[in-house]
Amino acid sequence: MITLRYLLLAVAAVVAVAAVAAAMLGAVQRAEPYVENLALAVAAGKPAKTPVPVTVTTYRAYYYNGVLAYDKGIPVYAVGFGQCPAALPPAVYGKTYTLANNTVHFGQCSLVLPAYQDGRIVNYVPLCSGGTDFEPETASEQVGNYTIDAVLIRCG
Amino acid sequence: MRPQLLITAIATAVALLGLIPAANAQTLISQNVNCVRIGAFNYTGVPATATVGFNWKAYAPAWSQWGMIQMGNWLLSPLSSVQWNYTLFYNVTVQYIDAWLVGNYNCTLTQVWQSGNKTYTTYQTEIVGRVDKEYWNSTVVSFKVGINEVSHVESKTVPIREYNAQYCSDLPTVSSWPNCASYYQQPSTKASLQKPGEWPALEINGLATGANYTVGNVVVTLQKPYMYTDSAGPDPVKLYSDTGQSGLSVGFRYGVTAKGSAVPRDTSTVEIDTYSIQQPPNIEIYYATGTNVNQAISVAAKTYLWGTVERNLVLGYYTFTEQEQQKFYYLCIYIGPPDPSWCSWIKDGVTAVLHTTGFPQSVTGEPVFVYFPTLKAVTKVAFQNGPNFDISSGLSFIVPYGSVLTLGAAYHYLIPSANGIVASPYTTLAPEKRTWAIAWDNLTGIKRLWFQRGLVAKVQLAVDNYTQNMLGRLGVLPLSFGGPLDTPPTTIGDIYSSATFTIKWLGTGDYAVPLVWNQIYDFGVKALTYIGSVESPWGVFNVANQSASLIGGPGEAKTLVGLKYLGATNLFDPGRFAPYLDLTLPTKIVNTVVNPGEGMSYVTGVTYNPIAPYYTSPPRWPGSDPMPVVIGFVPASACDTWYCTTPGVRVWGPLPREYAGVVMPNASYLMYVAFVNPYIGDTFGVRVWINKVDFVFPNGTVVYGDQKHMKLLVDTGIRKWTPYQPVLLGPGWFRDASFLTSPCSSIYLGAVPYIFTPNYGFFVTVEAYTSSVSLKATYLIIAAKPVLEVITNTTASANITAPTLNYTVRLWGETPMGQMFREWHLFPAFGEGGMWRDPVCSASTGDVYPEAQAVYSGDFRGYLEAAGVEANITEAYSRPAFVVLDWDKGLVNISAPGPVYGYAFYVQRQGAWVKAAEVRGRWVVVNASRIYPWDPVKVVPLLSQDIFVQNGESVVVWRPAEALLFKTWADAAGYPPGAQSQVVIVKAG
Repeated sequence: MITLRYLLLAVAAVVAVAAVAAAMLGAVQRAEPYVENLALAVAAGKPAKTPVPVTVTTYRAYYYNGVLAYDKGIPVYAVGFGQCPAALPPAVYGKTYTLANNTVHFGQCSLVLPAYQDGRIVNYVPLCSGGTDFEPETASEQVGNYTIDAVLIRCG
Repeated sequence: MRPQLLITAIATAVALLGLIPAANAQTLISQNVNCVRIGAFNYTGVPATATVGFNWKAYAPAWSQWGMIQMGNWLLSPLSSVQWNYTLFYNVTVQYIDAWLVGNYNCTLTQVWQSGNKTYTTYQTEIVGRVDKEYWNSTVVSFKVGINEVSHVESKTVPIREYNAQYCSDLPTVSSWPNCASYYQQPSTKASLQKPGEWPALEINGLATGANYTVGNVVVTLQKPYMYTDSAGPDPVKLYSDTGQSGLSVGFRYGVTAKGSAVPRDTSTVEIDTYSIQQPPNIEIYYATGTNVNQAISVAAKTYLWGTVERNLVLGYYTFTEQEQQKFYYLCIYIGPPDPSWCSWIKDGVTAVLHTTGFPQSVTGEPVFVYFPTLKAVTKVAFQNGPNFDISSGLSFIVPYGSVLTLGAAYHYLIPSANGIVASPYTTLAPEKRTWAIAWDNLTGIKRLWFQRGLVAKVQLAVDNYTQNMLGRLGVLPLSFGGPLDTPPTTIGDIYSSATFTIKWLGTGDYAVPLVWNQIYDFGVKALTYIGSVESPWGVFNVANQSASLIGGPGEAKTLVGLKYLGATNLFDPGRFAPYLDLTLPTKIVNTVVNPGEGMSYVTGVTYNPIAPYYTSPPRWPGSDPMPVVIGFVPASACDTWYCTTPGVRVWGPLPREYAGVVMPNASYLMYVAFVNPYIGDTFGVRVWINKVDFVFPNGTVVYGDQKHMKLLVDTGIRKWTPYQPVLLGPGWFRDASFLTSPCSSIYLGAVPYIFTPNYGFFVTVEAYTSSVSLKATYLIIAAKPVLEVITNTTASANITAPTLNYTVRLWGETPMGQMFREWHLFPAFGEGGMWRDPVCSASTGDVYPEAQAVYSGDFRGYLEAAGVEANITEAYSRPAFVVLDWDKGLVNISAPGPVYGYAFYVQRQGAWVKAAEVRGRWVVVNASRIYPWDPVKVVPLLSQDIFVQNGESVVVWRPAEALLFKTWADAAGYPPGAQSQVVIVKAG
């Protein structure tokens, strides 16, 4: 929880930028709770539907020594729903996310960050760029000492 | 250059001028040479190459009876597969001269002459090039022994420079003027080796270190780490390079620090001790001109296991007589027939006979077995009053075949004194008496085993587990108290009233061969001329050196009889009278003829009848009459089906067999005889006696065999015999048969009585008689348990639903020396699970000639039994494991445990798994960036196993297990929705 609180404080600056972006994008997104619900559902690997189309942003990050890293380690995907920045905010790096706390909400964006828990890495692979109907499906593979789950997010 | 030319011109002019006074009478007063360095240049020679050869081989401990090799005093198995912990690098630094600094010198010879009253001086000048300095360069050649390599042979060339000029090594002197000492290139290539030293093996011959290995009843745990080394150790083993030049080899030790434990049947523990061997490390400078400069490096890496059993076992207790109390004792546990050399080290004292043996003797016409105390005949020492210690009675330790046993014995004795009887402390044999090394003795062309160190110079010892021999029957245990054997006792003043001998420990580890014994073989050879030599598995035995003779007139077919050579006799089994003989049958009649007029010069020619080229008989017992007959036993199936409804005996080819004197225990057989030529006329009768075997009659009655008494098998009555006509013999019947040259051909005989073989060897006495003549020859037949060869493999079919394993079991008869023969019998094979099919007769090659072999196919799980051999099957699954090598590029290394030789990749297309790729190698690297989770790739390891199983052993059979491969991480290629997966093989090895 400390992590999350710290994160929320730290991303306050980003919110302003995101708001500008949101104004420019116009149509698709709104600051609605369904974006947040969508992120929570996808993070849990469950399907979700939204009343209006939601934009999906794909991010790339790494897990290095158990913390999310910017440029080295095991490459993983993160996903952002709604009006999300083009790159992950710097504040999300350097921390470990578990399946219980890997969603981050700020402004009109909800991030689902890769989780690392008990030698298992869960990352989120969107197979689309937006939609109203989201169906995650988990594929799990043991590689070396890790089990890497890819939550494939189909949407339409 | 111009001043030099000028000087030369002047020098020439001066020399010419000097010739003019030389025409008159002159005296040389003094002369000297003075050289002035006028410049220098680098001479770079001509290009040449040096070749560095690298020959690296690693060995495993000698656990298996196959493929044994000898290296110095040590016996090792070649390593068939290995996994080192890391790649080994051998760096050879080759040093060579790549330039020569040549100095130019202007040398002047000054001569002062006296001519009459006149003194004048002459000068001669030379420009001399001298090698002032050698510039050395070096190149490092690296040889890489891969992580799975058991041997590595490679040669690399190094460019070097070769001197090819006419420069001086020194400046001219007055006496040498105008010449100089020529410069020669001294050995200009030097090499030095940098080696890994010590490294761990993770897996040896498919056996992971840290795992258990079962041989017979001994379980050995391979230590982890299991170290291999190439550094120096105490016991030298010499290796020579392939070029045959001694000293070229690089010495390395391959020792092991292996510790493990084993649990034999009696639950004693076996501790595998450290043992190491080495050879002297040296590398020689070697140079040759031209392009073949060779530096051969031979490296052998090997391990050595040695085990001990810690236990106390009282051998025996003996009360000395008054007379004996004054002496010191040697205990020679001696088993075997006469050979004076064996106990010749016994110098004095009392020798104990611990076992006796015997042989069949004809007492009153019918052969009976007579016990015969052999030791009395062997040594001249009396065997009465000796302590009678039977080690075998108390120790039930079964050692694996191929083991060597070492005994560490201890003793104590009771000394009567004024205070009563005092027991001396237990004294163990000194360590150097325990660390017996073993070597083959090939001098006589046969392999035998000696202890080379220890109490005595040569002590024989033999082990095998085919007869489940126990320790006590195994050899000579020399014990002395009071001092070493060759020195007088130091405690002669003590009066010992009794002594107790105890085995303190028992070691296993290396390899043993049977005792050596004289055996006599008969060969039926249809020879037109004199047979020069007979080739056996152990060498060529020349008839000229043996007391052999040919029977038969000029131009007729002849029988070579009485050819004696030393065969190897396995252990005697004191509980059973029959000595367990090893098979030493010659396999080939050498195709040479001795021309008597030219001594030993060989003339090639056809010397045997190609129709029946391999008549051999079993070993003929000493004392038998030579007889031109070949005998043997051929497998006979009692029924045509395994589930027998109608008894009907069928005899199976080939007939005669290559190993006529070896049978499988508890199997049905018939005997055959064939007379090579009319010997006592062509009309005579044949009686055959046999012991121990059972006679089985078609109505189900069985006449059981007797150990001591020979039973009459058949009496043919006096009849006419045709040469080379095989006659089948069964209980109470005989009939002419024909040769069965091809394996798996058969003769159906109907419901006739047949022979059922016992567990151990037995005797056969053949008597040829007429009304006036009776000749008897006794043969020993060996019953050896078969082994099973379990062969499995996975093939990559085009479509699969689940990985399958092809399973084949082959039946091998076997003799202790590892000579194998195949055997066909209608034994079914059973497995605990899976399925089995009736055996199929399969033609296969024997050592030389074809044999018939039973082959079972099916699927065996848990337990396998065929022909009385039971084996436990432990199943292991080889499932591929994935390790990502490069996340961004998606490179995944795939490996799987077990005997993997490759991998097959399948993708699901139109409802079926279709093979997408197949690759050979223990591991494979694939590019998984285009293998998506929605279209996974099925990875199936391809396995291949070939295991020999002895009765009671456990084997691990690997089965393939599949794994699905797809990427789940982020990479450059991403996840294009709906894309089909593609398998890209990057590398395999």
